[in-house]
Amino acid sequence: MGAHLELQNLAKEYPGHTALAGLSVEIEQGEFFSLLGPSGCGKTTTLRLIAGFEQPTRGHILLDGQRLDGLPPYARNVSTVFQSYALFPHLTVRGNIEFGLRYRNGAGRQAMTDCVEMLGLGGKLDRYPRELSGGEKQRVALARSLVLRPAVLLLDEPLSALDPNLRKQVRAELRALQRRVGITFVFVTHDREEALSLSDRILLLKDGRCEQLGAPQELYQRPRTRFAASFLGPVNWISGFGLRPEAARITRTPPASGYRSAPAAVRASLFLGNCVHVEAELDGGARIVAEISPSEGAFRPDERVFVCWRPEDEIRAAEP
Amino acid sequence: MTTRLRLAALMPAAALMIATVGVPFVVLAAYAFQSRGAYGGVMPPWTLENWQRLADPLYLGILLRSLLAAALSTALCLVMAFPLALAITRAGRWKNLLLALVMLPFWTSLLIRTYAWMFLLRDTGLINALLLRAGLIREPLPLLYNWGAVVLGLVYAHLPFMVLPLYAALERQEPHLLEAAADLGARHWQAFWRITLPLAAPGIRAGILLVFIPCLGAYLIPDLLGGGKTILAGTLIQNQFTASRDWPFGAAVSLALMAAVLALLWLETRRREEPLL
Repeated sequence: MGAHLELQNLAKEYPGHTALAGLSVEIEQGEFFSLLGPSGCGKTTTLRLIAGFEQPTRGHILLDGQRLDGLPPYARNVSTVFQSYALFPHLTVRGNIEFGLRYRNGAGRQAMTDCVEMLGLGGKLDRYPRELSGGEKQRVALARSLVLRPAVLLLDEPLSALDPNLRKQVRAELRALQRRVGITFVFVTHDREEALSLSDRILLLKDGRCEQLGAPQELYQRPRTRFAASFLGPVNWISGFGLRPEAARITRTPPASGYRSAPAAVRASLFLGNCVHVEAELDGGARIVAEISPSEGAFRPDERVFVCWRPEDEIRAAEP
Repeated sequence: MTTRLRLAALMPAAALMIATVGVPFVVLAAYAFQSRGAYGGVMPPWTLENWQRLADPLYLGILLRSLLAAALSTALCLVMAFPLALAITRAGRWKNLLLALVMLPFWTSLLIRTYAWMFLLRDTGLINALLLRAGLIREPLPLLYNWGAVVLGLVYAHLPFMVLPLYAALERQEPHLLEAAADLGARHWQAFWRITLPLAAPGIRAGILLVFIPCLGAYLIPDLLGGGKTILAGTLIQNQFTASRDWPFGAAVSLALMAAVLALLWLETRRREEPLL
């Protein structure tokens, strides 16, 4: 199971608009791979090109060395979980899950039973989609695709239609599911937390181009551009480098060796329960936010302090 | 709105329906069980004779032929309207223009449009004249005053009533459903058969009723394009109230036709619990 998916210089141009400008990437077998970026960055276009709903203007898509581009969607051994789930409203849960079984060989009754059990849909088989909750609909959409044992599962923002409380729970379930079935997941999202928590690797897209490709920690800690740094999390820009709020410390005395520091005045302090956001103005004029633990003490406005950080936490990103 | 206000708002429509549907229905029902007057109208005694005459093979044949004409016209409308409605839902920015074109015939009276068909179809009409001049035929084709002309007229007049509900049903379908079907392995026609068609069912049923019912009672088109040779139920009823001066029998035929339609509607609503339109 799982497959090696390769995009070679993949491009999609519309009249007057380039959705994807030559993307090359190799996705490993069994990898949880995320396409992350703001709306209009080309991530959904990439997914639709892999699924076959659209044809690339240039470039190729290879699955285990076989060319996919040019094939119609029904002839590709990949399957899509749509953002809206696109469940067939006139079919029951059973009808939806069985829909593809008659076209795709290999899978069968056993796959159906396994899938239904794995996704906990046993009691819902005779329900219609309109009778399901958001989370159940999503599980049906997953089951409908997974029952066909595709080489690659394509997920188009599958968590965005869920309410925020459910989203975190389903996120964990999704990752466990992927580990269990071992299928390559290509996951489209604009939510950095989702991408960071789920992925083996993240491809950050901007304006139809690869901004940065790497493991979640790499993208978060060593973003190569200011865009990447800001998109993956809050960042303070101090002359020439960036600093994540949680990498900044606030002290009343000059810090120990191994730290860099700048004198500053506290402007505001915001208690958030699990952390405190201290807003400080460096003597140079830059305003920064430090996220510190409540145990590190309370700071009053106008108090003179030092903002300190470790040199290795400095983000050296190219403009913009 | 309060209940009283709501009732008040319903009054004009209710009054109109009672005056134009309820009262004539009662009059018709009363006529159908009396005897004919010598110069039209009705007179005692009360009788079931009008209903017994309906069983006459001559009249049964006319009713059957009307049902057949209506069914054939409805089927042709459905076959022609479905691709059209589907094409309109996928026409992008031309959608509204195409819908306006579907409704364009309503800008002219049905009578005038039917006469236009007569000018096209008659022996010296446009079609025959062109075919004669092109040397394709020697004698004019008998295009008018027959069964075919009646069905053509019925299909022409009722096509929009099929297109619009079909369009409404197809337009509601989420476009991703067909992509999902293809994604799960279905080819175009398989996706059409398993997704598009079943989801269009409410529109198909609405269209069938909207076309079949007026076709069954049609009078103008069968009379003008059938030339009196192809007598259908509408013409039969009209004859009873005019030339034959047999109002009670005319009333009985009208009620029989109405009963047939109601029976159809009842079957239809019983089969499905959801509302028709």
